[in-house]
Amino acid sequence: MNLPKELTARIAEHLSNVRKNLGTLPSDEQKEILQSVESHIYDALEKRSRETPTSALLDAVLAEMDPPESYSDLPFVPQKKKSWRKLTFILCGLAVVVLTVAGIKGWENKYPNIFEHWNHNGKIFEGVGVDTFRMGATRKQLIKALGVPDKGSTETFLQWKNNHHVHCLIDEHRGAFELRFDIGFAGTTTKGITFGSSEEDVLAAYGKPDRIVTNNQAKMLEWPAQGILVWLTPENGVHQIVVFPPYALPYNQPAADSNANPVGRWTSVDFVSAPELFNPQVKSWPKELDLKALTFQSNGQTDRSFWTWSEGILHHSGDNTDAKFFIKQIDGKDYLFMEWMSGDVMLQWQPSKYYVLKREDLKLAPPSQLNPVAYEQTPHTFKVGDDIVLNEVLCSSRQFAIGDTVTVKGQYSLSSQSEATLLLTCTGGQSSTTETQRKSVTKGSGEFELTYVIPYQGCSHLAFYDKVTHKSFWNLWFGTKEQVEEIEPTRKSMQSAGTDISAR
Amino acid sequence: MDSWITQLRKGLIELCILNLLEQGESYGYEILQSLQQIEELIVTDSTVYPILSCLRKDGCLKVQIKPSVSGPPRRYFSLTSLGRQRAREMNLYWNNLQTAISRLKSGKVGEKT
Repeated sequence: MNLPKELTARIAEHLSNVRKNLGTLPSDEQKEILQSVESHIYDALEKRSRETPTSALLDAVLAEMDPPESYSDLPFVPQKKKSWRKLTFILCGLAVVVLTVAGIKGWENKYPNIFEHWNHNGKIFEGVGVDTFRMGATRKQLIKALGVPDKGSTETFLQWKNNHHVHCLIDEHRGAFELRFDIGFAGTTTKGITFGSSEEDVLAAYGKPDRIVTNNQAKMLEWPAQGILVWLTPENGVHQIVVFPPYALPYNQPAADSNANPVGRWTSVDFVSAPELFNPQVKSWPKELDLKALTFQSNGQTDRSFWTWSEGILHHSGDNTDAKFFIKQIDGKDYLFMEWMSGDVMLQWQPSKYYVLKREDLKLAPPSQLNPVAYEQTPHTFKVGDDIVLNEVLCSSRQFAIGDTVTVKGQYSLSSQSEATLLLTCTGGQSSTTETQRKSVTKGSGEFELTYVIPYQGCSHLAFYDKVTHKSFWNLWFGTKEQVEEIEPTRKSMQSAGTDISAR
Repeated sequence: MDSWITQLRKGLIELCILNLLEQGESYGYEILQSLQQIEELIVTDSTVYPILSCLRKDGCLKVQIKPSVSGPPRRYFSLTSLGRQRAREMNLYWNNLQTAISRLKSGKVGEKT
């Protein structure tokens, strides 16, 4: 069931009020109860009507349910201690609210339609609004100008449909950020479009729209760069005008790369409403990103204990959620788009937003930062006559950690094949390699020096690879004691099975 | 409402939920609708959903989340073996209590049936 934003906002408000009354119940129980209450609302709406529910229908459903305060009346819900001091504070607060509302009410009645008194010349400015009912206005400013909002308004949605035929989306950070004008509002856009204007008139005024959405009853035409969209029907023409801050057209992105390997470290760069709105040149999320970075490991783990991954799904063991992710290469860089399963998604059934993470560039440390380090190594698996001897291992730390530069120096002898590639990688499917970590060798012996940056948690792996089959035929793993112990079962199973790992 | 009625109701609602789920799994709204057929229980959402949560936490119920066409996924509750045991014990206690009270009211306290 797709609910209009206004209704989902009201449901969210009801759930929020219930939550406030759940006392000191553990959060998992609170969450369960809230999920039950939310499902109840949707089930009850569906039982009453198979069509898109209206505000009146939601009123009826909520009226039949217990008020949120009832959830605090139960003997099995631990109560917060109340004190006379707190009660006095609440009563004082209530008194202030009542007096304020009474004052505003009186003022509102004096000017039943405030827009008539504003000097806006009947114009709705695209991307701006009308006088005080404008982009960025605060809640306080709007209430002062337009009066007490209609019933059904919430923290993020304010409406004055009864007196002024307007409503808006608002939040603490941006203020009003989407202004909507309904039939009844006396005004036209600066390009002469008003309620009842035909689609032809609208197209002539604004040109070809960048986005068109149609449903059974209506069509939406949007011009993002001009900060305006209209809803219209063939019979009645324009019936709603919406203005918002102009935004750049979506960046022309390539398709997702379904074969891309997520293993490695990623840094968060943006948080977007939809993947196609991401533009690497312009960060759209105005605030700090909570998730700073994420490392996908080759064994299906991540550097967060609660997240595991497999085939484009990131599973959260705590919330029991599955978030989809995919990788796109934009301007030669890998970007990972990951659904963010926030409370809005889980409790309010909103579409998920996306974290955008960029694959970290692996930069080699300068030679001056590399020092000889102690290391452990596995017994090597090999073909008779071939050999590699490690003379020295240099690393930028003693931990062989993610981001460390590793250099190996040694000697090789190759006799089983006429040529091969000597490759230094990290276990578990490193997706790409650089010139510094591979060397083409021919039959005979010689010295080598290979360098790479450890891209994710794993064990460093040195091997000969067949130039034709790309299979390894001589393998050695080295790193810390723990890393080597972790890879040992894999090595043994390869050895007993007589199989080699493929070059990646 | 008097505290003793509230407490008694809570216990009875638990008993009713367990008996209801003996017949098969069900989700919150459906459970509520079924219980509301017993007028005397005065069952509302703020009573039932916290009890379902408590029973789940006590290990009497297990939850399976399934998609719903009406909105968010539904939480289907069903009895665990512990829940079935609890239902048997509660039903036995309830039956014994009813019998004892009947005897008390008819002045037959102490008589064996």
